[in-house]
Amino acid sequence: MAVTRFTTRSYPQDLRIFPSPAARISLVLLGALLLTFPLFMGTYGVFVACICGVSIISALGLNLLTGCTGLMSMGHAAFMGIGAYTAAILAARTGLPLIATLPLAGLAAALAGLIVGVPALRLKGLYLIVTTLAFQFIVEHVIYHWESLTQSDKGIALPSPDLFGFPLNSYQSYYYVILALAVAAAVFTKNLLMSRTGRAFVAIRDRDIAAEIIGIHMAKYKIMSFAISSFMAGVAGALYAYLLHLISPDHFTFNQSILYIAMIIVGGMGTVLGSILGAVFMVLLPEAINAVSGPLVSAYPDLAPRIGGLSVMVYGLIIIFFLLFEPLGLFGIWIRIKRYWKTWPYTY
Amino acid sequence: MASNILIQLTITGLAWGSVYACIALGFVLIFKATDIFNFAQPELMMLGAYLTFAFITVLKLPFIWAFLAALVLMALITALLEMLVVRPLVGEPVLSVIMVTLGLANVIRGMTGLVWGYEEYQFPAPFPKDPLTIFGVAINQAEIYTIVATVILLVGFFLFFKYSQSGISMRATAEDTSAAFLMGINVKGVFTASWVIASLVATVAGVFMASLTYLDPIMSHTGLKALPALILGGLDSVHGAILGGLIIGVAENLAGFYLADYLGSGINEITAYVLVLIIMMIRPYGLFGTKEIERV
Amino acid sequence: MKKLRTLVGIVMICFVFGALGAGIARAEVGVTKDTILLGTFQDLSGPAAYLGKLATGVLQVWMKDVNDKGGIHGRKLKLVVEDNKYDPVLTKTAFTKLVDQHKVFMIVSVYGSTPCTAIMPDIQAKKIPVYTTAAAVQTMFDPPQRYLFWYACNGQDQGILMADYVFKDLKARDPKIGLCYQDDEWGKDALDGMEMAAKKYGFKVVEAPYKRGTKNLNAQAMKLKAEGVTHCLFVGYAPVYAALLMEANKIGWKPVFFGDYVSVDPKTFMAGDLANGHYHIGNLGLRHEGGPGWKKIEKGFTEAGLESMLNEPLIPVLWNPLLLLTKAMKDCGKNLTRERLINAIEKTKNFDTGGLGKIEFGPNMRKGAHYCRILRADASKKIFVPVTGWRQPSLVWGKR
Repeated sequence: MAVTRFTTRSYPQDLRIFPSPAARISLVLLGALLLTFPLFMGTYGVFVACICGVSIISALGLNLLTGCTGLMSMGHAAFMGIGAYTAAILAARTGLPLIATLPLAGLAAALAGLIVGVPALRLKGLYLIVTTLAFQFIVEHVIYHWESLTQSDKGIALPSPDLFGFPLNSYQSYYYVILALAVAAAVFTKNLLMSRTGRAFVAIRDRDIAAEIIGIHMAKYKIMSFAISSFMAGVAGALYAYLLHLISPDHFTFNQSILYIAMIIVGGMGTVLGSILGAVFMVLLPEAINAVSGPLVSAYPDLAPRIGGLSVMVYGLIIIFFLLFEPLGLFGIWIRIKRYWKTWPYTY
Repeated sequence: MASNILIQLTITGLAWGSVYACIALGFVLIFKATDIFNFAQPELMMLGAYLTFAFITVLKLPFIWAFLAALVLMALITALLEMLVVRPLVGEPVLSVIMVTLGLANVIRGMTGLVWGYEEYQFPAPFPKDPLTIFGVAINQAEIYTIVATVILLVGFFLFFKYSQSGISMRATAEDTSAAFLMGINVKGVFTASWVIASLVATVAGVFMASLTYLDPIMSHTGLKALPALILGGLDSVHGAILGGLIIGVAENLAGFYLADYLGSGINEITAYVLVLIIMMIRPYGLFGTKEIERV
Repeated sequence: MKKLRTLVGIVMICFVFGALGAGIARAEVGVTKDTILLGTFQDLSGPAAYLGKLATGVLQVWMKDVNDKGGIHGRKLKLVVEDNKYDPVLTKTAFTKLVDQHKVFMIVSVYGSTPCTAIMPDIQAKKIPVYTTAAAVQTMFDPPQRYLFWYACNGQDQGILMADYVFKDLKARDPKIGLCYQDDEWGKDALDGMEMAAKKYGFKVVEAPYKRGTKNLNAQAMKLKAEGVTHCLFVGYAPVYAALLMEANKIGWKPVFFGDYVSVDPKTFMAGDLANGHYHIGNLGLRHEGGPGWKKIEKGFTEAGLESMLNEPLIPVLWNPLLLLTKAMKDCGKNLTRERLINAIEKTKNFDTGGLGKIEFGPNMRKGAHYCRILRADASKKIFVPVTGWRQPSLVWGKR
């Protein structure tokens, strides 16, 4: 009976990443769906799925920092930019393969994360937000003006990636790289959250002074959180660079940082599933709005800016709606649906 | 000649700094009373300017009446927004509240796009166009008015918070909301009042910024520079916000002239953020902010 | 589990490659018995939304005109619009959607260096004609790419033209030449042109770049004044140019200004009389000249109820290429393919736009505009009056 299983779960069961058989079965089904996805979706669908995958990795990183450790960052896109440019420059200038540029991009971003993490030890709340915002704008400036390295707004074109000799020159093949890394990132994050480190992060988020008093090395864990989060952002940025073939400073702007914050808030703060749902939702939202506004504009061009304005409004309204009526985000909705079925037919 | 250039740059910088200061003031007012950080403040500024513009061009009101009408309308709009959107979130995590205000910013930006499109408009400013020359330094009359208005606002709010009943109750609410509530202060009223006042200040800032150049939706992005101004001064300090704004206005204009050749042409646009990064290393609570003492 | 997944992944990859490698014989995409499907991405809600409005308007008027006359050999034109918000990622998404989902024949009338640069590798890979882009980046046509056509006014050309005019026509003695520009590819191209002219005429350029979106130009104006600039070229949007004029007036700096082709715009007169008598460089026909080309535009826009857009002097930048496209499509006859269309566009010479400005492409020539005129602003009538005929820069394209 589902109800009993719901109420009595043993400690070893709790320690597993995917506790119930139902969870494991649905996971296998989902895996099968994801693996066969490129077979029944067109190129465009696969491309959007790739963007979703990259956003998931990046959102997981941000959620670790913001949702779990409570350190708010408005500079997440800057970390992605550092990763992307590291990969692009290495790939274009030295011809390093994907397998080498990905970790190096992550490390470069993690290094930047360490640098931002140190002043962040003393900063809290809004002071931290604006400091990361400053970091965002400064990175944008450097990318734009260090022309000899980044080619400014001409952008850097990347060669088509390959993996152990397999060329990955279609979205379909590259999709599997992104899928594998997104799954790895999700499992890693889930694992991390259940470990000693993850609990330390949460303790810091809930009350950092109290956490320090009970013996958590605050500086260490805060900086670690920054480093891991920016490592993931860096890898995501590198994947993004290969996916887009060409990156320019406009790919990693303040608006992108806001987009990632929106992802974790809409998805659900501090949860792995929330990051995933939020990333997918925020990537698909402009698609959905476009599906309505595109045909409208084709028909009534003089209304073009009005329809555009409307789509910006709808975007904002959806965010507000979520925060007002579903503060736990999509994750909260998911939990409610799950609970409904678990206790069915005794749902009240 | 060299000193003349320096003075000229400083004066223009002060005028722009005053605009940043006015926007930053709006942030502080809301933060002081409600502990909410309103990221839609630059958009409120933009909306105020657009409303004034609409009253002048559509209803053909003289500037001063259009300005007053815009103030009234802005007060109504923000009061409504505060009650419907922001108040349900009091006590929620900081980031959620910030995100709501960011969503609000999107809505306002979309709305101005919907109504006025994305073109630039010349703002029918009431200030005479001819520049004045005082002791060899040229200054636009709009700039003089901007600086003067900021000084008046600074003094006004200083006195308001120090002596008036409402000012004191706002400070009390900021200090400890539940204690203030128990002492019989109308906390809800204070919340609404702070948003309304912030929107009025934003409108002033918007009108001045539009008078200094022109009216367009990018205004809100320029207005974002009030954030470093605010952090520089310290989040909860009115005179800090104003001084922060002035410092940033002057610093970026000087950097634009003296440093652009070495550090890249956009340096004046990020001077504010570089300054903030440096100040945060030295004083993590800004120049004039109060250091919070935390207890478990 | 993990191993299994990797294995399945590899199998999948092989499978997909097999399918792709099989080589699919392709009928021409986007062309049916009675329609031709065109695609475009436009900024409808971002920083360049006013251009999005303009471009969709121009496309609508043009399509109505063509379709009313029976289409191209009986095929009616159809258009798909995607919003790219001037964002590079959304542009790439829009491009993929147009090409892979809507399966358009070609992409028409796009603009903006950021969006267009973002899809450059894909244009080549997918072999989709993009006709034309008005992005202010040299890389759009240099080196020429078969599928990418460019029609706007080139920054390098303008830099050289300005110097030509100052030295040859105004015969200025010992001029100090300055350049105030938006610090992206658009402005940097103008700087390149000016540096070339500087070598030829032997002067030194004083540069004062500003970041896109900057509103306070005090530092730039002060710098140009302090260097004693007498002739200044401005490359950027008209309202910013107006702001520069006002700032110059404030600090008492009175050079001869040259605005680039984008500031040939009524918004320049936001500065009022301060804009009067200054020069501009333009490659397009002007409405007040009343040429047959503009008359036709006026008629089309009025019929479509889009009169309000007629104040926009940039219409021909989008309109001229479409006129040429109509002809090229017709030249292809019934058998319309992408490759044949490109050849037809290349072959069209001395195309008559009705006084709207010159346009011409060729094999290995993707730069559609070569000729400009020097104009002079008349603030009382809010118009720009040509003071020279059509001319090429003294350092001709290809021999710089």
